[in-house]
Amino acid sequence: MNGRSARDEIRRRLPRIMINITVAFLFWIIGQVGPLFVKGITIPGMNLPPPFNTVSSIVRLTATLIMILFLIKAVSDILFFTDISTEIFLKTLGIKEKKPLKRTARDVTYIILTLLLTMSASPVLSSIPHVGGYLNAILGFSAFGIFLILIYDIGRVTYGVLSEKTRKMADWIGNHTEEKKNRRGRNERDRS
Amino acid sequence: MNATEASFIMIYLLTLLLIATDMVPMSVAALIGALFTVWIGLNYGVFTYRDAVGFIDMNLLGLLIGTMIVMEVAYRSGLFRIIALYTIKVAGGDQRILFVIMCITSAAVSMFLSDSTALLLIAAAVTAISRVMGYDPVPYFVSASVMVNLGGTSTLIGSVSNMIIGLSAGLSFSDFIAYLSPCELALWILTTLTLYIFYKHRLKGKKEVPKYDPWEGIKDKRLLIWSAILLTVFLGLFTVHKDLGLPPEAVALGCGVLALAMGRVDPSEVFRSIDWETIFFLGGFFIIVGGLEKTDLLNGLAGWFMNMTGGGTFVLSTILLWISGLASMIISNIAVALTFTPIIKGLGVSNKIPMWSALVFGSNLGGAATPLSGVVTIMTLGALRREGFEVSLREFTKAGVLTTFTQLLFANLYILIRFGL
Repeated sequence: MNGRSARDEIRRRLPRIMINITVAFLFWIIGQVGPLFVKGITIPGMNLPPPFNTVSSIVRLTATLIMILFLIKAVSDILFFTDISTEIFLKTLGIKEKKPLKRTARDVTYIILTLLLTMSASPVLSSIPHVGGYLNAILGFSAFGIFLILIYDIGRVTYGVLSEKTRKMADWIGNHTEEKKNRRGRNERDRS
Repeated sequence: MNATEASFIMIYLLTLLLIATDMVPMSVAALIGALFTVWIGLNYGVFTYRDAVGFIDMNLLGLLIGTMIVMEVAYRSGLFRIIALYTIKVAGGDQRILFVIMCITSAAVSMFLSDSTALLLIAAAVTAISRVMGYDPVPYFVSASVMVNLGGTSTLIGSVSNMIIGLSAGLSFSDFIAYLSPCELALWILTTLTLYIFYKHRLKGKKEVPKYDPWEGIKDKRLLIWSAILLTVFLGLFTVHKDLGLPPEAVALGCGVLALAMGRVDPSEVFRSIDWETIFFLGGFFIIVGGLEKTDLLNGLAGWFMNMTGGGTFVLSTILLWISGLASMIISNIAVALTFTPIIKGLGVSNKIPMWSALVFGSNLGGAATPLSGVVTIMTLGALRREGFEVSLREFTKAGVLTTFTQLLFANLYILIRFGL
């Protein structure tokens, strides 16, 4: 978080998410409404294949691209909140482990536990008259949500480990190359 | 594979993961697994409630509880303490002799006592000696944990995994000694030698041992004599129980009752010191493995083993030895023994003794390879920490892995020669 407190980060990121999503939504509207105003107009002097030869398709495409750009900007901030909420959720489950292997093992344990709990509770919930089906669906969706959070955490931990290893490898290669270069320079100086 | 089969495998993995990640004590992990097994098994019609209760091997629990009672009474009498103190006295102040005697005593004591009790006993003696003499306790502690783990390999009552294998295979106390003790004795020497070479540089110097009386702490000499007699009867009956037509659990429970009936110890204290953690773990894990057996998964695994190895006894034994050895480095050797027992039963081979022997060696020898392999190694590190000594995980693992691989290699060779494979 570059030394900033969580509150500062929320203050900084939340408006950015709102603005980015609003702008993306605006461009989605432009992409839907804009083509209506230029309907049937073909682009003169360019031999583009249909449907890209009409102004309306260019407007729609451009609006969509801009919308995606703003969404991507929003997603990077949303990921920050996902990280925080995942962390809070996992802490309540008791996953506070910092060591990657043990943390992944705990995530897998909870995934299996979630699956087994769903499988065990499913026949009981189904047998409840009238609401059994709904309860089963709620159970299924909740389990799926927990499953996604845990999988996300495994991905995050793996990413952290890989990026750390890659950084170390890059440092090692950099140092090695630097050392080689220095050695060569020294040899040349000695020879001269 | 259908959904219930998949769920039984998931339950098995869940239990192992719960233990490996220290989320709950191992007994609770096994009981959670058992609860899921019974719930899913009953709900999806895999087995009945009566079947589920039948998964628990009451004979094994009887053998375990009976043995624990006899050993607890003998421990309380001070019998093992006297043996340990006398052996240390014999060593004089020479560190190297003391080291060798400590190694052999650790292994010998753990032939009868549970690993954790044996380690506590040896640790108390080593702590006292190292404090008085000013010796470095690390080589003694680390070696004691390796030797205590090794000690229980050759007797039916030496470890819980041996009891599981012995009862499933129908191997008696004397069978264990006949098939395994030559290797065990050789392993004692080999492991002591390996540990000695590993720690040679830290075992220099000789000091005079201060005079002490091994009998000093004994409060009830009659109890000690009774315990010695009872232990002799216990071991004697175990040696001939097959000829007498007595099952081993009957011998253990009978001697357990006799030990309590001597009236010189408080039964409630003896019951409190019984290792309930292991008993509940066993009960839970029996149900988990029972669920797996009901789905024919373990039989399928046995068939796969047969196809993969072509039914060759040596290849099968070697694979079993190494897989169980490596597995017990990570997970409890009781879990390893319980898992592999039905697999060996399902193998279509006429002579299964080499395979049972391989499982005994594998499940026992892997238990002291790393600091996280078992209770004994964790206890050793804790005891050293209390004494103000820190052993790095690396140093412990180095000594543990070196000795474990040496032992497994030797055991593999022994199986090849002993059974003429």
